[in-house]
Amino acid sequence: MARIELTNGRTLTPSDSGTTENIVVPLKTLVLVFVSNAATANTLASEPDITGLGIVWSKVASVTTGAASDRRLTCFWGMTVSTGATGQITLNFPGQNQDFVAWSVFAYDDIDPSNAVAQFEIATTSLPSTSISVQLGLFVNATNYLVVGAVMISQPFSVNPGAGFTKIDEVPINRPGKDGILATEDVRARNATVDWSWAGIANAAAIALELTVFEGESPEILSRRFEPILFFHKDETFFPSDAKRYLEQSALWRAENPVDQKDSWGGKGSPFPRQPLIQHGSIAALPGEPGTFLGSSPNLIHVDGEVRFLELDGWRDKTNSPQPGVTQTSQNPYANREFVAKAYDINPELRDSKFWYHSEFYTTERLDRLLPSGHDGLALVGLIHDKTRFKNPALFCYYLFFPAHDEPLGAGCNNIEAREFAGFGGEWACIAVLLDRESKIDFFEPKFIGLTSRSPSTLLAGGANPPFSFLEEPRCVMQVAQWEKTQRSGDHPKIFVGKGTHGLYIDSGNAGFHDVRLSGESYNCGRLEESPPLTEGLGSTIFAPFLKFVGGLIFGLPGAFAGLIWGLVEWADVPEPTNVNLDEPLPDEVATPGNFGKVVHPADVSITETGAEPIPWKTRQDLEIGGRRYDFLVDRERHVWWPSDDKTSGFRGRWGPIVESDPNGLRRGMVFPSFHLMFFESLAKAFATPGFFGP
Amino acid sequence: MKTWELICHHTYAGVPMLIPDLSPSSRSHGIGTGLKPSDFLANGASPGSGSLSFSRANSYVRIRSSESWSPLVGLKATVTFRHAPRPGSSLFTLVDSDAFQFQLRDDWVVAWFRSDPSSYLEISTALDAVGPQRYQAPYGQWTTLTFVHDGLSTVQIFANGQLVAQQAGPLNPVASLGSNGVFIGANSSGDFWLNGQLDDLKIWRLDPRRKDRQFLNRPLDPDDAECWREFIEKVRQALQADPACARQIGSSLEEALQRAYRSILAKGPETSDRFLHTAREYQQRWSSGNLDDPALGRLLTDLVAWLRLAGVSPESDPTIEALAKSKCVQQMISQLPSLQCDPQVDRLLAMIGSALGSGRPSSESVRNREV
Repeated sequence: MARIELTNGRTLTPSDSGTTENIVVPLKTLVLVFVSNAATANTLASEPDITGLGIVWSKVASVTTGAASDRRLTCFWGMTVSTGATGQITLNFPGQNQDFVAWSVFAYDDIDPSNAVAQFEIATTSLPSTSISVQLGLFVNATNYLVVGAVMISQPFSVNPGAGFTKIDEVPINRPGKDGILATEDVRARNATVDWSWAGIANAAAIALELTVFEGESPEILSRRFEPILFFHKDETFFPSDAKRYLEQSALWRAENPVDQKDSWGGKGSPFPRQPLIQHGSIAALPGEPGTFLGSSPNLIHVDGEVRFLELDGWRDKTNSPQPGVTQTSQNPYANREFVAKAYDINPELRDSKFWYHSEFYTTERLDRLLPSGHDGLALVGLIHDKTRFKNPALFCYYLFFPAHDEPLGAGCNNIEAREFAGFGGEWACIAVLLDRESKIDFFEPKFIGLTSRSPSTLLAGGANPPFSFLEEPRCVMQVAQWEKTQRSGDHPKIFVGKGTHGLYIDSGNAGFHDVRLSGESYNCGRLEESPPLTEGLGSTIFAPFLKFVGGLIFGLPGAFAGLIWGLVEWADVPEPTNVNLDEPLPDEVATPGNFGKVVHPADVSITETGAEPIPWKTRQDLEIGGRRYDFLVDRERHVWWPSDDKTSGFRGRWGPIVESDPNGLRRGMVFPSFHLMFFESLAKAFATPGFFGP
Repeated sequence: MKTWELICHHTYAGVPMLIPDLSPSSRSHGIGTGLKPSDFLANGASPGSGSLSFSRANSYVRIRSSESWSPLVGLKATVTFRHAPRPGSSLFTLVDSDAFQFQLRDDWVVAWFRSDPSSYLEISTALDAVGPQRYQAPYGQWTTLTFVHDGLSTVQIFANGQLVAQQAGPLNPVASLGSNGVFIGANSSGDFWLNGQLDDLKIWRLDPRRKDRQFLNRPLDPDDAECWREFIEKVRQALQADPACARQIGSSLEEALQRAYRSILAKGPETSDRFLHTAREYQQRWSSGNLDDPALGRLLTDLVAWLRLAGVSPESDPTIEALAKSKCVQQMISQLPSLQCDPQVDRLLAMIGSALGSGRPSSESVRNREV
């Protein structure tokens, strides 16, 4: 709710009218005008007529006070309907001069026009008094109420608002023989007693109103409204699941730098076998639930050089043998995704957590708060303030948690390095829907959709070079498309999922990847990987000559010179050799007619695609199982497994095991990315790409 | 394998005041300073392409320095713009930084590059013209200029795709960007602005990963791949354990390689051609897994002999000698496995050693000596 304070003022010379200054009222805004006037002849004060702003005004109430009822307080309301308004408000008293006319004019941008004034009451003091209160009746609205009041008193005492109320205006009337005050206040709470007090005694009259705030669509309603239909490939193993239940079944580990060495896990240098901070099945995600609370120290530490990670079912070594722990002799280069898959078949807590999403609503106000910080100098808040494109934008995000991610290398490579090349445990994906509405009392309309995938692809944008963004995880990028490009059932978009990688697409068919490699290249079927620069000052330019130098140096000084010559002949930039041994990534095999498997859908949508196995979403709010509570709406203040908005608290660790020998971070669990920032950066880039959204 | 890495791409289209970097790494977003929304125009060199007007003092786009701008070594930039005369000034800035500048000076096109340690290179269409016609940027016409510094031997300027200026010879690499970042549309003090519009700007650097990629681009059988994987892993661990040593080795080695390479280029075209021929032959064999080809041995022997005749003796490089004897390197070497598990490399090192005369013995002779 936003109050817009428009104007206040008064006339102090006898006149039969009063006129406000020029004011500007936005579209679909409720305007309240409280008028206080006093007749010059100590006779019954007339009710004002109101005109202005092209608004159709309605009187709420009018009440008099004083011995001759020569003072009057009146309330009007009106609404800008089809356009905003600019101008003055005129208050006329035909045939009767007033000693003063005072007004307090303000507005609200989210009042339901179908029942704007739900109720009103008036009150007057029978004798001069030090306070006044108006008692409203039973609240008409369950939660969407707003209480507003105005008081007129006959002395120039400063007025104190009632407990919990916020003073809006206080208009002093200093006129010999006709002093007074007009004061207004409001509160967004269930305060049925609307009151004021002042130091001294005075006659008073007051009006109180209950306004109806436009409820619009709650996050839960929005979540259900745009709930996606996910088409999975028939050979898919992992499905979106409740992250909280995964967390509860996992162990929490501590890792230090360098994180891809097992000696860095569970306390560097401590004796083997290493132990996690919290054992499997013993994490309590909420205070009071069974286990060790995730939010207690030191479980959420996330600093330079020390992070946390979750591990559900251990590791595998290069012979593909399970490695359940971290021992002196264990090899832990891969997450044991096979066991994770089995756990989701066998363990009832995990099995029942499948087909679940988490969702989060970013209101315009929250976006305004989060986006100004921007990142890397890109002031993304400018996007939501661009009134040529958006009026009241909001973002709705569906977060999909996959217990594991499969991403082998291309055909012809069947060695374990290729099969495990970019597979990991604990993956996040996101469907973001940008909504907009003409005003705060309209329903949202979807405008754009953002989808994550492992690498920029052409499937999303119909062949055009797609703009994309990534933040914490270069292996997870987001691209945007116009909502109208999606296939839908009602407001539910149909999303086609890449087998194993869980890349999300608005169309079926295999994804053609853009020639951008963000996560490091590999050669010889994944056996050799490009390494990122190792330390500051030793950039990757020098790493290969360095290897040759030390390779030669092992044979002594002459070997070092041989290594130098060896490095030198590779130092020259000569035309590229004709043989390229670079490993090619497999394109995403996206669910398509003929290979549809499970189709996860909203309960009220029928799936008619041939071969599909429909499964309704199982997401619920306030679900209780075994003394634990499960929700799908993200609450970053109460649910510590989400990073806080400012990323300074909450769980910022990895959602799957960290593994050994992973120079490019392709095989460790993901952190939860800042998907909302990814969405807006991607959208900004799409707007900056001429022709991307058409001419 | 790409030689150039795109590190900045601005289109100046889209939402006013928002200048996203469309390059893959996205580290070069533009920050508008002194600009107004009305400076962002819907049209540019073509309808709907967007452009940004720089028409007054202290208005420019700034890019923060980031790891994308370090190292640079070689740089390529393409800028599409138009400008108008400005009374009292003959200097129009396209791009400014402490590492490189692109300007119009009296309508001649000028590029300037800085190297470390401090040395400067300037090329202009006035003094380095290719052909009899010296190019001047016309007023009021959309023009695309391309500036190339290949990091080693050539600096060029192209106007609308045509080469208009060139310098050749051993070059120092372009220095990394300082902390002030890049200024677009005006110089860093804001007093020499373009007085026109920019439609599109792309900047590339020599891809710092290209050498790694060349190195990894070799077919290996699983055992040899495992040998290298283990070796690389051990080197990574050793470097991570001693970053100061890593920096010392890295900078010394780069310095020695640059010095050797530039001294070869400085010996004239015959020496550099012979060297580049050997490098091509080597890289072709490397990428095809044919390292122990005797022909390569002969080429390397001939190259070393030629270099010695030309007065270039890599085997007497004092930096390498000092480095090889340093405590940190010795400590690191003691932790590393041998590369004898890759027979081709073993033989290649032997061939180079043989070419050097006093080169390292083959593993076979090492074994014999140990006996």
